[in-house]
Amino acid sequence: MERSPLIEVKEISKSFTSTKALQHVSMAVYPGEVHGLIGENGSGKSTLSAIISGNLKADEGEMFLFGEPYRPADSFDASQHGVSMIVQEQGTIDTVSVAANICAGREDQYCRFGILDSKRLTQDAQKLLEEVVGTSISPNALAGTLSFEDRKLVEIARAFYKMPELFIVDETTTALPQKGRNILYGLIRKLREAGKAVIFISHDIDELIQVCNCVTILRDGKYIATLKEDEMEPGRMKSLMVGREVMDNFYRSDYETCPPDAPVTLEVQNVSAGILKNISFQLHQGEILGLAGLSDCGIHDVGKVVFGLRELSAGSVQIPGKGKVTSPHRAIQAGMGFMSKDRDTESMLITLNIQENIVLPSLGDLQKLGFFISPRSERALAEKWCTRLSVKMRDLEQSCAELSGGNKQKIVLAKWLGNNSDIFVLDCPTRGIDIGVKETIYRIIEDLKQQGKSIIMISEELPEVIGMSDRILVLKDGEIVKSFDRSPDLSEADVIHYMI
Amino acid sequence: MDNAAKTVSEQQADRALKRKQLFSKSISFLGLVVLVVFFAVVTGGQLLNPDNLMLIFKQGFTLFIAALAAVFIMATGNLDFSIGANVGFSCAICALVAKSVSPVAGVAAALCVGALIGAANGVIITKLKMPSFITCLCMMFILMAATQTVCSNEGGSISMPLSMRRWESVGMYVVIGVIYFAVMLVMFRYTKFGKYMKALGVSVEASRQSGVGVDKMIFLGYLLSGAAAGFAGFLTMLRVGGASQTTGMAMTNDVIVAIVFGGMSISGGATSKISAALLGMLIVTTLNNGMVLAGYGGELQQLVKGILFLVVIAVSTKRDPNTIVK
Repeated sequence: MERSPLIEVKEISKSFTSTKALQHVSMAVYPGEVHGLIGENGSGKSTLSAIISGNLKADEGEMFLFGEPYRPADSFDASQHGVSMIVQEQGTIDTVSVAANICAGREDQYCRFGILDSKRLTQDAQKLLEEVVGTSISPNALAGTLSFEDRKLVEIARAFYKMPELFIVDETTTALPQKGRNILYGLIRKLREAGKAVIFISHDIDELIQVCNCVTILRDGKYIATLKEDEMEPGRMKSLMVGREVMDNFYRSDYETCPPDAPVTLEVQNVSAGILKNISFQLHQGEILGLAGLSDCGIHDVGKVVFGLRELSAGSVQIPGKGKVTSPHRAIQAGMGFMSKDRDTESMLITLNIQENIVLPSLGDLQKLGFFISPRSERALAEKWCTRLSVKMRDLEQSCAELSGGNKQKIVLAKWLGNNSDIFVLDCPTRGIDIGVKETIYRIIEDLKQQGKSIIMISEELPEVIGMSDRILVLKDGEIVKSFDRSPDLSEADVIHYMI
Repeated sequence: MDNAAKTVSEQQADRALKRKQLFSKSISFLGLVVLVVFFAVVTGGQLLNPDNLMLIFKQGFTLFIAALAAVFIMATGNLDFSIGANVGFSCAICALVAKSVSPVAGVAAALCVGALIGAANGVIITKLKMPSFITCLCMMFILMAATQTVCSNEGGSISMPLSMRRWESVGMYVVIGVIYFAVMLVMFRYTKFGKYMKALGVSVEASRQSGVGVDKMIFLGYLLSGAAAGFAGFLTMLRVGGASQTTGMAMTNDVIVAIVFGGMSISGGATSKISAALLGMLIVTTLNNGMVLAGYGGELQQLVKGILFLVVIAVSTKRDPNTIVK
């Protein structure tokens, strides 16, 4: 079967400061192919698609489009070559109109003597919206006023301004309701029939099997394998992604839930703040409470509210016996610890050393004579927790900026463990961490549960929320829409159903 | 992933890093040595003359007092531009009260006025959420006007009571200097206050999320630098015998320049240390004294300091087009 590939990437490498995002990755996509790309978070799939679509430049390696060398200067140049992409995160410019978004970068075509013919531009945009995605969104509306789903449709219309030769879908489907998904699947089918190609990135293995006719697996920035349609089998794909047989105890092996009579350690009552509306829940001793939802549904805001970082417009956050939480300072005094999603800027003092980071919340307790903090006591505390969590480091004086993501996360945990916290609010605890260290973090969290600590685990990764939590609260548009108890029967689809 | 087996290139990188750290740690000291040698040669040994060394010691003492305390607020990445004007105003009040009430009351007045000015800066910045840079700059203008008013009411300058002449002695300077240095060093290195200030300079948000009361700490930082300026005002009066409209004018610049010359980043954080103020104060005082001895005019002195400051900032900071100093 000698076909010439539509696009071929050869030996692509890309590094970000200390992490190697891609190492010598090669793959080829043929005309008429819907090529899946899977891998754990941090495996490099988004980096690879960003390089193909011109959003990033590779450090090494070459690309060929229809056999010709292909070096896109930016995403617009790539789209001129027929390569367009829609992304996971939001990709519209909110402060200008839908039409301007769709035709962005092509204004020259609508200019006569330097004046923009906005009427023609609007007409073209409307035509695209109707023909490509079949919606009646007004091209004059500001993109920022549309719902997340509609903005995604605008992005799709923009990608189809010119029929793409290669269309890259980067985890867009998770953000779309069924209707939007169907539109996208229809477009993919159309491209396939026209002999174009699609690179389809998704976390959802079932969806990949449905949509794609072959799939490439990446792990830790390396090419692992390409499976043909008849080889695509969920178990095999999973073990290739993880790099070994996926064991049942990767998350938690038990299916016990927290006993209902366990003491309440945190009580959130009718809280409204920002997008959060009337949030109420209780956290119990020895409980892992998962919060699931789309990234802008308010799950991260709940974490900040609980830790006293947000002003509440109504309601209260209380720790039984210790009063209301009104500031991080009060929250910490009441035995709470918070791991922010933005670890490097909010949970760590990145240029300070390991010891300085770990002892920071505990300084008050280390004081002797009411003011003096001896370096020896600081050292002892930091050493104890670095050893227990087996942090990989040169010494305690090593700057945190030099540590890997997983070790940084351990330092943040050590910081709160050292302060003897009872409640751990963990926002995306395994974000940007490679698979081996992820498991360590899960074991630590499980350990905390065994010790009777309470954990709130906020995550955008459903498998980990489902795998770790005693109870899951699903948020949508700032409200709690559903609560699930731990159960072996709970599937991602069940949770997603309430998320979107 | 494995720390045990480090490659040769990694070991080399480690060693290069250590060398670089050692270099950046000792560069300020080297600068001081170069400066001393240069001016010793240019002035034909006059710089190292015992009488001149004593003069340097006395001249540098007020800068020492102000700069050590300013390390705290500068560690948070905030600057205090009102220090010099605070010294001037406190000095004027000190002389006025010492003359009209009693010398001891004068000292108390200087300390109180200085601390109050610092507290005012702190309240305006933390409660009214004003940018620290603007607040301190405005405070500087207000205080300069106030000093001029007080002094011109007294006929241009105020002399301290003659009895206070006897207060000044080398012994007093040494005792105060040693105690003051020890207190500041312990406070910066071994207390919550000092550690929090350094943490704030790295990241305000991360500090807040680690339980640091941000506003309280910023307030205390300005209070400290204000109180120290008040104390420096009193010492200035003691040295020059009174107050005039221009007292303390050069101090603001000298404090900031000294701390940066001493090896601390102007944006605070990890590099913050008390020794930076000590080393920097020696550099600035030597520079000031040396240039006078070498016969440089006032304008030339300012020019040299300005250019040197730019050079040090340029080589010592990582510049990002999107950030500006607070």
